[in-house]
Amino acid sequence: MTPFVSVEGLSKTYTARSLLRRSRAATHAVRDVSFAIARNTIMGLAGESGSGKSTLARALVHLDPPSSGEVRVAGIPLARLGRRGLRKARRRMQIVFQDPHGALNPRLRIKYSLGEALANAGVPRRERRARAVELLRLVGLGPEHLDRYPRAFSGGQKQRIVIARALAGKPEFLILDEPVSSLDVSIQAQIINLLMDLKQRFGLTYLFISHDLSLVSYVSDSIGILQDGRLVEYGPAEQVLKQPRSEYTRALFDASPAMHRER
Amino acid sequence: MQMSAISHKGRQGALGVIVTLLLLAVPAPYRALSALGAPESAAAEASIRIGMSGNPDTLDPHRTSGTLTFFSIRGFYDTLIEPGEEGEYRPALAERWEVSDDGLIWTFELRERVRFHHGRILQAADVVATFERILDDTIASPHARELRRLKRVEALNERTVRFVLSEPYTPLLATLASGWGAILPADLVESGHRFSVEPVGTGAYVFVHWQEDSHIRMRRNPEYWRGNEVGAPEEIALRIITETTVQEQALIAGQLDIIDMVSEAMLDTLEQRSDTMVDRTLSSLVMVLAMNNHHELLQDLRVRQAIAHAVNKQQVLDVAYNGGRPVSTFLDYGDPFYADVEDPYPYDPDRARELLDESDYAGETLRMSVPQNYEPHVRAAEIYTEMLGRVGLNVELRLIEWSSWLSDVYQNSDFDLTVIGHTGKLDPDGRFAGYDTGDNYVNWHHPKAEELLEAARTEAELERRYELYAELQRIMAEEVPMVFVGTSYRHMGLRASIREFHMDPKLDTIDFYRLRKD
Amino acid sequence: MVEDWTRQQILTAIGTTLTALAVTVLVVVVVFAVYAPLLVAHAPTAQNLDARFQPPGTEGHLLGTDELGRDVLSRIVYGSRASLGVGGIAVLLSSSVGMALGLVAALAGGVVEDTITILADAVLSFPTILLAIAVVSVLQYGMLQVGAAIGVVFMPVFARLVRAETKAVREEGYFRSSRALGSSLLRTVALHVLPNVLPRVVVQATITFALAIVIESSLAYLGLGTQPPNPSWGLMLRDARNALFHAPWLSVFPGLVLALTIFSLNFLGDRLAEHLGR
Repeated sequence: MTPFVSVEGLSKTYTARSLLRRSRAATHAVRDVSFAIARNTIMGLAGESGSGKSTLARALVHLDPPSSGEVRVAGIPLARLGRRGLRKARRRMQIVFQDPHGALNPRLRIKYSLGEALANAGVPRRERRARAVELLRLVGLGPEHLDRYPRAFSGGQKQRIVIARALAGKPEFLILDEPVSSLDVSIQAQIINLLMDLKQRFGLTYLFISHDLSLVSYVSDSIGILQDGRLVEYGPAEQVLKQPRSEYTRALFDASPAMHRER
Repeated sequence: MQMSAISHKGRQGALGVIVTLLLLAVPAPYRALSALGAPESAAAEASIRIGMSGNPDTLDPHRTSGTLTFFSIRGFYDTLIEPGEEGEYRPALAERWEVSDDGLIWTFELRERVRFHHGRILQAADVVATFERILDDTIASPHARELRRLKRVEALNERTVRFVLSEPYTPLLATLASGWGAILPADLVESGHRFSVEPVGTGAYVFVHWQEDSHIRMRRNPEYWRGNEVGAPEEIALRIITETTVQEQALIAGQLDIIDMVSEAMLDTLEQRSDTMVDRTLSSLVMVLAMNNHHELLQDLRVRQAIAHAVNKQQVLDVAYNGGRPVSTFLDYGDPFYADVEDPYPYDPDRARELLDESDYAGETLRMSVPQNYEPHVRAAEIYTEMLGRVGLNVELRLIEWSSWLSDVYQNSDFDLTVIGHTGKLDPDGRFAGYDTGDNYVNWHHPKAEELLEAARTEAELERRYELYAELQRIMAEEVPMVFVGTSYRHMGLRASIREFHMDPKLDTIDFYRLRKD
Repeated sequence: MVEDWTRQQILTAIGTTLTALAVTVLVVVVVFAVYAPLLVAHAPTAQNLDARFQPPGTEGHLLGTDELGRDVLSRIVYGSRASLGVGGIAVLLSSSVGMALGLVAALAGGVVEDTITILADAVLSFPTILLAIAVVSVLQYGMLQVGAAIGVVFMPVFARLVRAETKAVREEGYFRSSRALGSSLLRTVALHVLPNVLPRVVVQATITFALAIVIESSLAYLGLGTQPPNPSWGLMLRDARNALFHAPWLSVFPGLVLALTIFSLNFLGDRLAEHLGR
């Protein structure tokens, strides 16, 4: 079976951009990363903060073009798409960022935030309201929320809205970059369950990124471990959990209290 | 944060400019007064302070025709001869002179023991160097043209100098007596001394300092050849003050002794006060509304006549120039050669409208270029615009810098209409220079003018010259190459303590040598 | 506590009254400019040399006449056109071009941003009025040119402001989300950048408007702005300076109108800035 998403030798490095300014010190490079994700499965990507997880996510969808390597989604190499094509393709593969508070423009009512995504998906103006209600329903919210500003919502609700927005373009592939780590533990489970439901319902494929190895192992079909921008561990979840190849993975397991309990 | 910083700065800036504006608008005299300092103490009474309306463009007598230059340098230089009160000429650096029978050779005998400010004794070589300098192309003297009949100047011995002409030319004496006939020392001419910033002559006052926009100072020349009569001021300071109001207030406050501008509003006040007075002389300026005679519309005599008929001369003189006498020709009212020609085109708006109707004028807009630094001319231009508008002629005012006026309007005749005053010349030939050949800024040419001027120039007999110039003035009045509006008064404000104030209207200068203060 | 509360109330009441006054002043000035021909009995350039220096209150001349017998009130009313025209042109030009430059700088980054920033700083480092004089000298006179000159002078202020705001927005999650959603740059800017930037631009615009009017007046005063016989407040002040003692109304009225307009604009700008926070 050909994988839905395949990544070959992906690298992303930053260089100083101008004589007047120093290079961006805080971003982390990704070096020679390869993996594949089968349709309607979840690949978990774990690693400590600073290991390059977010850089990898952004490079993967070419938000920041990779320095080298190739990414194919549904067999199509993204690098060959050009700017316009890439923008279209991006609607079919969405990123949900870690912080739902920042992800919604505080000056825009929810309907406009959803409207932006629907407009990108080519939904005609007069259908947008109905579709927005539909999207909110999918994530357990109602039409009464459309006219509110983000500040009226809790963190969990905001993340639901962000997820709803990500679904506007009927994507097939979602990159979930720490989707629950800024939320209360009680709400984390709700969001995880919502994501699992949606995956089943729409046949979605996920790249689930988290620093929390126990969470990754709970949801994933395959797992990759990132250390200093390199994929030090990669394989089916079962195999990685039982027989980790690298010292680093083992150290991560030891640091994760939930994993202890399971073992 | 950035935003608030910018807006804050912006507001402060706005406030600053407002304050500046208000300062400019309201208490201007007070500001300037404080700049002038308190009335000076008794010890400094030996000096005379004169308010002058602007900077001279240069202090070099040969490089300019600017009135303020000659006003400023009058004390520094002497000329070979001087104009007398009645239009005759008197000896100055030359003790006596004679002309050959054919009128081609003028010989001048120089005075003895005349010393330049830098110590050298005046010699015939200085006179030769001076006139060669005026004729030098690199000096580009605007007066070189007056000397075009001068074949050569030669020193016969240390005290005798000879001017050799190509044809008889009576107006030569006027040039020699004018401010631009100032005699410079030959050694400094040779070394390329910058007379434009540091004058050196034989005059009654020695140049001390010129601070642009502030003052020109001069001190008494103790070795002056005319001798030092008692009571002469030790120092004369010309204070450059461009605002009339400031000058007036400074005069009233006793911080200036003489001012060269008096506004209409202040004439009465200054005359009525016991400590001030007004010197009122008819100037030699002829105010004109000049027209470009090459302009498509203005070359039509009817349009020029219409413009002349549209102008109420007395009103313009009263409102813009603080009063004056209307004239209908190119010489000023006080000139001995002035011909009292009856105005062929008196104020008559209806006639002006008729003439415009007859002409090809079809509503085009004429541009009136005015030097923006001469407020009376700007004011006059505003009035002309209105007067011409009333007879159906569209005029658009355009204020330009003085330097642009000189180059665009005066040199290159790039204008439709302009407003200016023509200064007097000692000999009428100076005023008419260029109007014979068509080489004048209004592009006027008339075959008869050429003939008449040529005849007057070589004519030695005074009565005959009067006739020739009168004929020319009649032609110019008829032809109206420009609207000759009138001769304005020259008002100078004086402290009551000023004595021996002699204004020469032809040269527009004060005789510093004779000036006294109680 | 009670005292504090009433004091607060009084302050608020004063603020509200002043705001209303400022708005009224500006409305009046705008009405002057738009309906000038309907408001006054005399053409602003119509001379009457037989009725010069008429004091305020003379029949038919509420604010008197000037040195050429022109109606001072008419000239003030028409003079508002020069002020508002120049202010309007200057603000439109400086805010639109400045905003575009600021956006381009912030979004493009790199050499483009450096170039724009350096140029903006260079222009800002000149004294405003000198720069305006220089630009006017090149562009020649006329309302459009003077407006454009002042506009050029203030472009960098807007460019810097917008650049700073845009760069801040760029780091926001919703900006990145918008890009990730596949929005076009235009849509991202329209939805997320402009709403953040515009309020600040509006505040800056009111301040710039006030400055532009002052600079127009200063230029006119120096003989570089509005050309006679057309009126502008600055030009009226210039013409009035020789009649300061003799006919003080010639300076007082245009000066007053000018000052009121500027203070109103600045006051409203302040209120707006307060209202929008930060």
